[in-house]
Amino acid sequence: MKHRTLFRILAWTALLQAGSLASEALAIVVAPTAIYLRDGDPAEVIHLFNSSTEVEEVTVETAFGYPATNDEGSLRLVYPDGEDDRSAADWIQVLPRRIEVPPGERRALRILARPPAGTPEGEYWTRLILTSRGRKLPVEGAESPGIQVGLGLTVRTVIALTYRHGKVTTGVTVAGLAPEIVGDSLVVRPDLRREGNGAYIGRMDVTLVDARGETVRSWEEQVAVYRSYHRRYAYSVEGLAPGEYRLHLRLGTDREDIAQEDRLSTPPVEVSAPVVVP
Amino acid sequence: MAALLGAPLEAQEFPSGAPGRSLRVDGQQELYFGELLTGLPSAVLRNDPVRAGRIQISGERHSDVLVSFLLPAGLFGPGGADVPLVFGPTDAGWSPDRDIGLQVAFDPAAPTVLELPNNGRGLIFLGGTALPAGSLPAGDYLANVTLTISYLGN
Repeated sequence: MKHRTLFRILAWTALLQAGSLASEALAIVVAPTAIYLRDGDPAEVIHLFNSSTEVEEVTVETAFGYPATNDEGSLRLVYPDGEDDRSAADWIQVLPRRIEVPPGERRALRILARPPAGTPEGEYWTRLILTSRGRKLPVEGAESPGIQVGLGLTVRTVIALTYRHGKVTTGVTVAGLAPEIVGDSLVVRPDLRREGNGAYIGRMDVTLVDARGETVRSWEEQVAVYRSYHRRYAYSVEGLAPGEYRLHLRLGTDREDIAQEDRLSTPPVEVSAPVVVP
Repeated sequence: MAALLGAPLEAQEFPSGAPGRSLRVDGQQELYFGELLTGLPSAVLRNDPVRAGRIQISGERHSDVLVSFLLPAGLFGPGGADVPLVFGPTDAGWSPDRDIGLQVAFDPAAPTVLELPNNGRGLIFLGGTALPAGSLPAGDYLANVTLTISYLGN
């Protein structure tokens, strides 16, 4: 019960005692973090594992959404209002929608896509929102009949679901590569645009080479271009000697966290631009 | 995918060199306000090793997760009485090194993108301030905090 009690107020002494915002007992594992369905394989399973000491109740809902960037170049998950011709949110079935996971045990949720007849060829998206919370328990009795306080913790885990119908292709173009040095940072904001009818899920290798062609810094990023992706990256170049460099971007679909059969493989895309470190 | 899901879940949580397809959230330590006198605010710093809330996020290395808190304005009790809670713009911290002394502050009231480090695990720390009133009626005071973790890599 300790994890459920935020603090207790002993009325006659006007003392408050603490409890938790972050319940130490709450722990939930959701796997996988992305689901890919297709015409010939429209079903999948989500596994839940409760490593805490309390029963957790998990509910599931679907919502159309995808990663995108805002005007400042920050990455966000957008949930567009209204209908969208790429939404699968209305025809993804989850069974059950609500489940209790006992401590130390796992449970499975079954996912089934049922696209309406006449759905055009292409890729369809939704997010699965899994909300887990400890089972509601009565506030524990105190030594005194005074005031008791409890604070619940709810965790929402949001993962991606993709359905591919018919022939699906993808690709990416890069524009606006204009790296600049701002203070001790290398700032770059490439404008990534998706090609084809499927999201470009890949990785971007960022490499800074000196005038002799030797790599002096490198970074690795995941990218998920559903429509456009204009993210601002800032990398530390502290300690780098003044001089002329060149920044290389290499985008590819060889993501190790995505099974081979779920990748939409494309040839790598490579671009570069000069960088002057003052 | 079917083969991966057929493996024991514990074995596929964060394998090295294999697809890491799980996302795990562990509440490790309570945000502890300690004993408070009514009428006197009490602040817990996010780098307080004993009292700060601590949550571990685990998943695929280098993946981006969007973290957002839905924080209560207070704990509500009988007859509309409440104990206000305040969370400032630097009351949350992120440590990809899982070191309370090496945090990057962020606003728990604003969505924030965090990149999981090479080992796929990092810690979120949370502080806050409780503002108990001078007197409070007896009864239960309750509220809820919602933490949303959105995987952005796909």
